[in-house]
Amino acid sequence: MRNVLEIRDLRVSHRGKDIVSGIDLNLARGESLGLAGESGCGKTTTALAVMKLLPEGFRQEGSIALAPEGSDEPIRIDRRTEAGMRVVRWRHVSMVFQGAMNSLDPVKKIGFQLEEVINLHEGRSSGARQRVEELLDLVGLTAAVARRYPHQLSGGQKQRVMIALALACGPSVVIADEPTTALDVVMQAQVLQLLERLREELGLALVLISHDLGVMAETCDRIAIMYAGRIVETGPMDLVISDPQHPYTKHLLESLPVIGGERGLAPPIPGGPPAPGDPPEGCAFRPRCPYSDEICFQPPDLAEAGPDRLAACHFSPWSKWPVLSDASKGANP
Amino acid sequence: MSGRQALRLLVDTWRGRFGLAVLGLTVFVAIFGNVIAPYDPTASSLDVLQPPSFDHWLGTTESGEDVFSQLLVGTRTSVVIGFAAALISALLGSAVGIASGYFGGWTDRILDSFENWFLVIPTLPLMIVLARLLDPSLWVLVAVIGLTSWAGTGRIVRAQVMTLRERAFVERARALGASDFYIIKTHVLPNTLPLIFANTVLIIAVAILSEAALSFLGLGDPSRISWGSMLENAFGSGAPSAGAWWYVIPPGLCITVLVLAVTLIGFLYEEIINPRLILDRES
Repeated sequence: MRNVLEIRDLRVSHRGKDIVSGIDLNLARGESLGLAGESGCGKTTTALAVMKLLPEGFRQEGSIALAPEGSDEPIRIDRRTEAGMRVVRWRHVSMVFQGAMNSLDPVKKIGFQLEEVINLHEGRSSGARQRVEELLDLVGLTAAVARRYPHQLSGGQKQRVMIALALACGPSVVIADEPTTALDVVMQAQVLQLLERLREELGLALVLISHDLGVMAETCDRIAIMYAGRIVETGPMDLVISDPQHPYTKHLLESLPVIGGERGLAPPIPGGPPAPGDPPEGCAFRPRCPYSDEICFQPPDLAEAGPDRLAACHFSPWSKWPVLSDASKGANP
Repeated sequence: MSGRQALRLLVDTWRGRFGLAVLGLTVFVAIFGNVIAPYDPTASSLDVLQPPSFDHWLGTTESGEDVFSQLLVGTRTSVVIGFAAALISALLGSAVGIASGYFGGWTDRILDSFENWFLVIPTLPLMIVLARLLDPSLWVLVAVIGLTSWAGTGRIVRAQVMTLRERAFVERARALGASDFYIIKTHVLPNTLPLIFANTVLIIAVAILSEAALSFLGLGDPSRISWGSMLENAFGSGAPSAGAWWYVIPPGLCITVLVLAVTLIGFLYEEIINPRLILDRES
């Protein structure tokens, strides 16, 4: 297996409603993949399914195979029990959870919280303290941070600690869920640079979850756009950005503000993603798509849309986007 | 809030200074009351119901005992019962609250209905029944007051633990395979302790009042002098109608002032752990 992570036909449902409805994802060694989409598209659910940390009441199906360096046979995460997963989590795949501000225990020092992960995972070891210093150094913090409490750190420092927590046991895959969302722009850039540097130094494969295409454009090799629990477009980052092949991708890109561009708010995408368990007939994006037609009442397949690219749109590959008159902008009934 | 600011809040406000001074004095008297009392508090004399004089600073009782000595010696009972009952209440309340909030499900349902039962039954009648059934002694009173006052603490702790259970650091420890005991010991308890403490300080006040009430009703330990039993004797001997104010007011005032001091410290401590509650910092 060339890929370090392979997801095949992953489905997650809650009380019979599909949250994620059959996605395939590959992650090559050392690659960074962006997983984008609006809130409620199933990005975080997909990540939690890979960690097998979905809350009670969720059902996951489909195969998730992990092939860390040096292992002969891929680890089948989907077949692991909870006890079996404890060996895999942190050691092979780990996650930077959403919301760094609330993820640390307010009454414990940073050093303790890092040591805790190492000790709980590998049993009490005398090397834990040493490892904490290495980890803090790795994420660009001084060793003195180990003696601080979370409230004594800035938002950016906390996010670095969160990344250090994810790296504590030397994983080969790290999933970062909205790692920059609560940070200001300068901090965002620093954290992204840090992730980029760690990927190079440690040979990590990185899955970056965000709704911000601007953030991804800076760090990711490849991108997968999710909509209503499915992947609607995937391909190399620069190609997808310069020449989107799905109307949803195009809309996401157009909603980014351009510095020096026309003043005023970017036009929002009309409407919102469909509620889980109640998808519209045919293409899930059809009710919000200005280009939709009769054929869109048939569900589209994720089909080839160029070199190394897939898109789930009946009209792809788009050679040229039709110019919309003002009247047809906005949601179709 | 840093430890230094917290200390300032205690020392720089009149509430903190008053509370600490009264509490300090009370604890001192509770320990050394027997030694500094000028008379044996149970030694009767022929000076019956004498008003305050140079010999008897706070006058005498209906059997000629020294009121001031009784007040000093009785402090210990009130303080011991107040603190010990509050401790029992804190231990019971936090154990039930943590189990209920952390495990949820059926554990929560059973413990919660138990807690509701203790919350809704009127405490004083229950205390009277329990104190009447069991032979009155100091430790029976402690147990009875402790057992009837833990439910409020339990309820507050339960709510806090329920939010902690969902926090990322608890889920992280669980995903790493930590045991429930480890998670409670390392993450849940340290985050709940300030709340338990603030609540317990307030329960000390309730326990002191409860002891006085039970003793006043004649359900206290007859072999020990307490502020409550002094009041009972005073009323039993008709001291108020005889105009013997020196027999009635001192124990009542002691109870009031100590409860006030403990309550003020409890409120201040709540402000220390929750800076949003700070009302005024002046004086």
